[in-house]
Amino acid sequence: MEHTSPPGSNYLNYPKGLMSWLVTLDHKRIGIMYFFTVLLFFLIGGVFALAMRLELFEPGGQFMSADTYNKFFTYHGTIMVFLVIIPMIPAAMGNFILPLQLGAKDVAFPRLNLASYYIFIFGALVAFSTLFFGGVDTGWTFYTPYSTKTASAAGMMLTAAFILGFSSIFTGLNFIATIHKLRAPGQSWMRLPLFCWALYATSIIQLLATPVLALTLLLVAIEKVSGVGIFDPALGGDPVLFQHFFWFYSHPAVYIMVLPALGVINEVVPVFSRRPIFGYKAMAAALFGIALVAFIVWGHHMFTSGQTVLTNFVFSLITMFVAVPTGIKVFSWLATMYKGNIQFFTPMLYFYAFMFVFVIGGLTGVILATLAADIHYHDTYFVVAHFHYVMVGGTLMAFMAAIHYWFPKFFGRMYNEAWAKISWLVIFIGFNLTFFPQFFLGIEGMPRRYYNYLPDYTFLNQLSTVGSFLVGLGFFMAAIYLGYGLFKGRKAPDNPWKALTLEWQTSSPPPLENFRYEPVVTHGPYDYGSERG
Amino acid sequence: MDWSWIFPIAASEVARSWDGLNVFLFIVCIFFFLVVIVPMIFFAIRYRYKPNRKVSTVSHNFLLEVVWTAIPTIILMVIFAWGWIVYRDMTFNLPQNHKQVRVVAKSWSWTFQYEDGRTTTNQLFVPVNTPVRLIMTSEINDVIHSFFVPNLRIKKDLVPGLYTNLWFNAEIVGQYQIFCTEYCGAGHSEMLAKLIVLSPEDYELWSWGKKIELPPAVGVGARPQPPGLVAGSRSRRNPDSSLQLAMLGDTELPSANLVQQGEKLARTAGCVACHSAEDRPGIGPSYFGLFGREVVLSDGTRVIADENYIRESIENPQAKIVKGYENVLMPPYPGLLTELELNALIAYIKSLEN
Repeated sequence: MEHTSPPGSNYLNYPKGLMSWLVTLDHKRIGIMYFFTVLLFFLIGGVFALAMRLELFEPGGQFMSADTYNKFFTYHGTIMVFLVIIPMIPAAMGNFILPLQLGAKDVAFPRLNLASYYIFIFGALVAFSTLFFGGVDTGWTFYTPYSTKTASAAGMMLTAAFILGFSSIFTGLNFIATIHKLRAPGQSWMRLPLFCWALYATSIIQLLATPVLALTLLLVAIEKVSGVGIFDPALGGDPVLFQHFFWFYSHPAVYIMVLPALGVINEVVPVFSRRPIFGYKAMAAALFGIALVAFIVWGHHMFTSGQTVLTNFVFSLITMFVAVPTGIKVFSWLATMYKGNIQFFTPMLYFYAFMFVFVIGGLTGVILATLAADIHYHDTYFVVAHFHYVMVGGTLMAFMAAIHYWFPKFFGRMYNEAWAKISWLVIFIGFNLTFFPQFFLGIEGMPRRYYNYLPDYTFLNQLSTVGSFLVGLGFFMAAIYLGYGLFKGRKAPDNPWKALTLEWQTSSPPPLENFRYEPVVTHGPYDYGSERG
Repeated sequence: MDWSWIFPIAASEVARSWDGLNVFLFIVCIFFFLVVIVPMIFFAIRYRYKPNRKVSTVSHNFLLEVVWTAIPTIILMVIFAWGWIVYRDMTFNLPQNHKQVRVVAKSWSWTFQYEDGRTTTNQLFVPVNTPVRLIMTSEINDVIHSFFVPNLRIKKDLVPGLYTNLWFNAEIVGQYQIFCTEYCGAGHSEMLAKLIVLSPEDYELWSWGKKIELPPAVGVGARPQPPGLVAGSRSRRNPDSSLQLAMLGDTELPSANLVQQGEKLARTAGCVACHSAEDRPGIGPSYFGLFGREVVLSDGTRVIADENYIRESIENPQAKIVKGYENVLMPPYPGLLTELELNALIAYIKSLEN
């Protein structure tokens, strides 16, 4: 990309033509393609969820069989984890924003970036084609020996996860190289926006943990082909070993989902509080603290699995330390608002929703890390509520904040602020109505992944179902006003939020080469309140 | 304190101490929730946007950062310790004089095997105020299940090829809900059973195979099933598990108890040809005093001879060879005995404990 684009053009309209999109090496276009792909998958995963909630409106079968229900929660979980939450912020938002925040022209390896997108699409196609081979009913955790004994297409779904893992690895690799090598002149490490720090920490996990998933799949395949007992007890294998391998990847994967969300929040709070972020260094360090601890807590998913008491002791103890860096971040966001000048634009409203929901998710996480408490809550709706509060509440709320925050930069237009606020309220109320009752279902002992349930649990399930449709309504509204804003919205200024990070110092939308002049960084990313902000 | 307005009725001492722990946890969580949310709302109102408002540019405060790192760390360690103490009690505090029941799960039912040689399906009978130890496994060709009684706050997975343990001491007579909590396929949510805690008199009658009146349902699952759901085609609920009958008729006792069944098996399966029940070595190591003892293996390592060790030595004898028996090749017997037979054989070997 040595040439410069014509004056007045932007990445959306130059170069032109379908092919210029499909084989683009521009990180912004790849980010946009990820963005819309992920939104499509989010819609599909959401429809599965609503169908399940409808089925659970009353005990007994309503309109689907137990088999179908089991497939629905499997597809809901698999799609949401592997196709939505993992790529949602890093691959969609990160691809677009990271090089801009660094003042770079592109990521370090543009071709690898494009490859990661197509590998992602390929993996997604494999995942969806399992629907034509009997579907998958194992849950997204694929526990052996169920997953090797069921007649469903579990092997194919694992293959999809294997393929998607490479997409994730490529993105992580690309981001690390980009952050190291392509920062603008003057952008020292301590001037790096925290969103970049968050993506860095995420990338490390992606690089180190994802190969374990591939290894696990390989072992499952070896067992299937050669009959060597690895996980299957009938062959002399150990099914609990699979759980160790699976969670060795999947627990860090939870932080692949959450860390970028924390990065988004780090951007939003100072901008709308018009105040320097509190504890920049502690914030960056906390991200890496969480990433480090992420690798050594997987056993807390297995307190009832029959692993030794000593193992349980150690994993419970270490898990407690996840809460320390997380707490540092939450308190620092609070301190950032203190004596600020707070503007209630939609991204900031999503920050409030995020805090409300994420704190509940985090605190119930401490309850689940407590050894004795978890024995009762394990595999009940308490766990379901907890991880939805963290994943949906944390990551999705942050994603919504990110969409509204960067929408003007993405598309050069504004969305309708009033509709955005109404939709925010509907989503926030709906979310809490859906998942808060599930904590009580768990306390009362209702196991998860139950197609049928005792009449004791009817009322709380009905509340939850009503809530889920409110969430659906909220997102439907968001799709309408965002879609409208995309084509008909008021033209956005280059820097509508008066933010200091580099992505706002170029035009909206940015030109193909990002910056008409090479940016030089002379101050920190959050120096608000001084003469600059 | 009575916490049954929030937690399911606690039917054991362990469950009550669990309730105490969780009340503490909830209070801590509500406290920290308020510590974050109240200032957040206050700041939003107090510092809402005003043109030309002078903002603070303070970007760190070492003391404050130390405080909000150190205080949560201390509280987290208290939480961990309390959680560990309750867990330790629910794991280790099994009194010496306890009853043992073997549990075998398969998709999608529960079999309970008693020391008197009887088995029941989807109904676990135990006496009130008596410690009971469950030795649990899944059928070898089946999948993982999990045994969960909300009113006792206990849960443990049943893994094919592995014995796991649970114990409880139910203090209130009644029928309690048992759930399967590890996803196991189409019948997962129908894999239900009842824990039936009998009064000493009723248990005495039951142990003689006499008819008894079943106690009322307590706690989770006590709400009656709407008639349409039990009988109708909308529910596939297993008739055994939703148990509406109030009486249990006479049952026939087996001619041999569990240990006797195991002794017979040891003879018919040919084990006794090499493994004697007396304190003398045969071609293979003796069963006498084996259970619970430390065994020295050919590579010098030591293992405790528990249920899992004995099971492995039957199904895969070469995995752990006892010192001095390196040249004896016992053929492996995987799948030769059913889970119930394995239980009986192990119970027999266990009865020869010193």
